[in-house]
Amino acid sequence: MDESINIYPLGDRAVTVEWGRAPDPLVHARLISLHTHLCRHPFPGYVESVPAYVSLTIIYDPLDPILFARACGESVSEQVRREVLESLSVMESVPADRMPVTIPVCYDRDFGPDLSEVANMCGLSVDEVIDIHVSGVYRVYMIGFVPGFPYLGMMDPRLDVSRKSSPRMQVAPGSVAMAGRQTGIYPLTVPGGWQIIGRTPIRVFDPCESNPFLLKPGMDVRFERIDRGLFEKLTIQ
Amino acid sequence: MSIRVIGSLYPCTLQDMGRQGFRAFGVPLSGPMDPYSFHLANLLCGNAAGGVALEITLHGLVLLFEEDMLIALCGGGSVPVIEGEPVACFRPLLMRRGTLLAFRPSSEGCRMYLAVAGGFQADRIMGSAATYLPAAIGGFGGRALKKGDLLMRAEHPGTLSSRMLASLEVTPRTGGPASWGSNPFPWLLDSDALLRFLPGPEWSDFSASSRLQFETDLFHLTDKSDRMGCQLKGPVLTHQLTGEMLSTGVCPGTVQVTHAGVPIILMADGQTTGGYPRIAQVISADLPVCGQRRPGSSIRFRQVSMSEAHELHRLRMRSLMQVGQSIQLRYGL
Repeated sequence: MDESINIYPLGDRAVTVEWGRAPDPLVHARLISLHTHLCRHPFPGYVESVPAYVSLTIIYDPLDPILFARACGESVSEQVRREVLESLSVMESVPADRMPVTIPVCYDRDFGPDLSEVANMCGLSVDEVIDIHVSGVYRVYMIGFVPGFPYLGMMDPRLDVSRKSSPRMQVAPGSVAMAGRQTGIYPLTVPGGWQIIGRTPIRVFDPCESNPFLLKPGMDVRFERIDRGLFEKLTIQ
Repeated sequence: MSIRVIGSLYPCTLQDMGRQGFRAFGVPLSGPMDPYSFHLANLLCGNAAGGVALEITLHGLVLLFEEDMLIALCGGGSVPVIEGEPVACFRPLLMRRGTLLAFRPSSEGCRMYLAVAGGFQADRIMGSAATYLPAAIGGFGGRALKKGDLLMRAEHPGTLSSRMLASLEVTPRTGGPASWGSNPFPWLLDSDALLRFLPGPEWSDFSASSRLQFETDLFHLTDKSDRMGCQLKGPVLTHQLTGEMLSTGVCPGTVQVTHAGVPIILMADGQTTGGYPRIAQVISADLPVCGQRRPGSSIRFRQVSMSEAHELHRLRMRSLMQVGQSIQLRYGL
C-alpha cells in the first residue's frame, strides 16, 4: 500500500510510526489497524503499542533472542523496522465499529465552572455551546495523560478554545472538558488545565472492574445532555 | 509473618516489575525506579525475578520485624541500621523477631530495595502489584506506607531461600548477614552521574548551542523530581518548533523540554503520551542510575549509538543473570 509514513526510533526500546502531521479519521483507522494487528500477531520481542493522533509508538524488548537472531547480525532496531513494515503490508483493516458510545453529561453550573467563560470566548450562548457539544460524534484519538483520559476530536471549529491560563490543582473525576478542538473526560482527581463544561456520572476508568476502561482508541463517542435529577440517579446506580 | 511500619518520612511503595500491556489506555509501567537494585535484592534472598519488594525513598523509614525473616537490602539513599550499627547491604540477611531496622540519612543514591524471602503481599491490579500513586492502585492499598501499616509476607520462602537460611552462619539470637554477597554496581551511586542518551525525535529542532549545552553542561535535579519524572535545572534549551505539537507516545527515559526550556526525564510513573519536544532518550542501561539520583544531585549527558545502547543493556542484564546463576550453583540448584 502506498502511504507516506515515517518510522523513527524513540530510544533503544521503542519506535514510532508516524502518518503525516494532521489528525484525520482515515489515518487514525490505519494506525488502529496496525495496533490491532500487532496485538494479535506480535513480532518477536513486541511488548505493547500506544496509539496517538497520527502515530503508533511500539515498545519492544531489544534482548529478545528470536528478534536478535532474525536481525542476522544487523541492528535490532533495523529488524524492528522491517517487522513493522511487514505487519503494515499484511495487516487487515479493522472493521469500523461506528456505533458511537453515548456518554450522559450534566452541564449544570456546579459541574461546568468554565461553561460561561467558554461561551464568552466563543461568542455563543451557554445553550449554543452545549448544543454544539452534544451534536458531534467524536473519535477516541488517544488515551493518555492519566489512565483512561480520552482525547476526543475534533470538535466543531466554533468551540476552539484555549486552555486555562493557570491549571486547576484538582479536577473532579467525571469532569467533561475541552481545549483546542479536543474534548475529554477526567477519570481521576488530578490537576488539569482544560476548560470544564460539565460532568458525567459514568466512570470511564474503574481499576477494580475486569475491563477497567469504558473507551479504547478508535471508538466513537457522542454526548447526551442530562439534568441534575438523572445525574444523581445514575451516580447512585 | 509481618513487618510493622513504625515511622516513614518520604514515599515508600511496594513494587514489582511493572504493569505491562495497558499503555494504550494511558497506564504507565510503574515498577522500581532502579530495576537493577530491585532485581538484585530479590536474587539475594532467593526469590524468583519480579517478587514484590519495598522501594524505600531516602531515609526516615523505621520497621519492626514481628517474625524471623530472610531479607536483602540493595540500593542507596539511606544507611540501614540496627541499634545504631549499620547492617550489611547487598547480601542475604537474617532479621530476628523484635528487631528494629531504621534507615538513616546517607549522602549517596536515592532508593533502597528491601526484598523478603517469599515476597510481600500486595494488591494486584491489572496484572501487577506495582504501586501507582496518581491512580491509587497496586501495592499497599494504592498508597505509600505510613505509621502502623503491617506488611505481610506473600508466600513461604522457596527452596532456594530455605537453603540460604539453613547455611547462614549467624548467631541464632541476633541474626545477621551471610558471609558472602554481591558487589554493589559501582556505576550506580557515582557522585558524578553520567546518563548516556540517544537523540530524541526532535533533537535536530533544538538550536546548535542548546544541543552542545545538553552534551557538555552539568544539570541538577530539582525538588520537583519524583517517580513520574526528574525535572532538571541547567541551561535553558531552545528550539525552532512553532505552535503546539500533536501528542505522541513517550516512555521512561524520554527527555522532554517544556515551553520554558526546562528538561524533564520521564521515569517509571511517567505519562504515556506527551506533546513537548523530545531532545533525547536516556538509554535503558542508565535509567537505574537516574533512579538513584536525588533532588540537588547532578547529571551529565553523553550521546551514544543505538548499537552501544543495546550492548550496554545486554551487558547489564547479563551481570544480573550471572549473580542469579552463581547463587543457584552455590546452593546446588
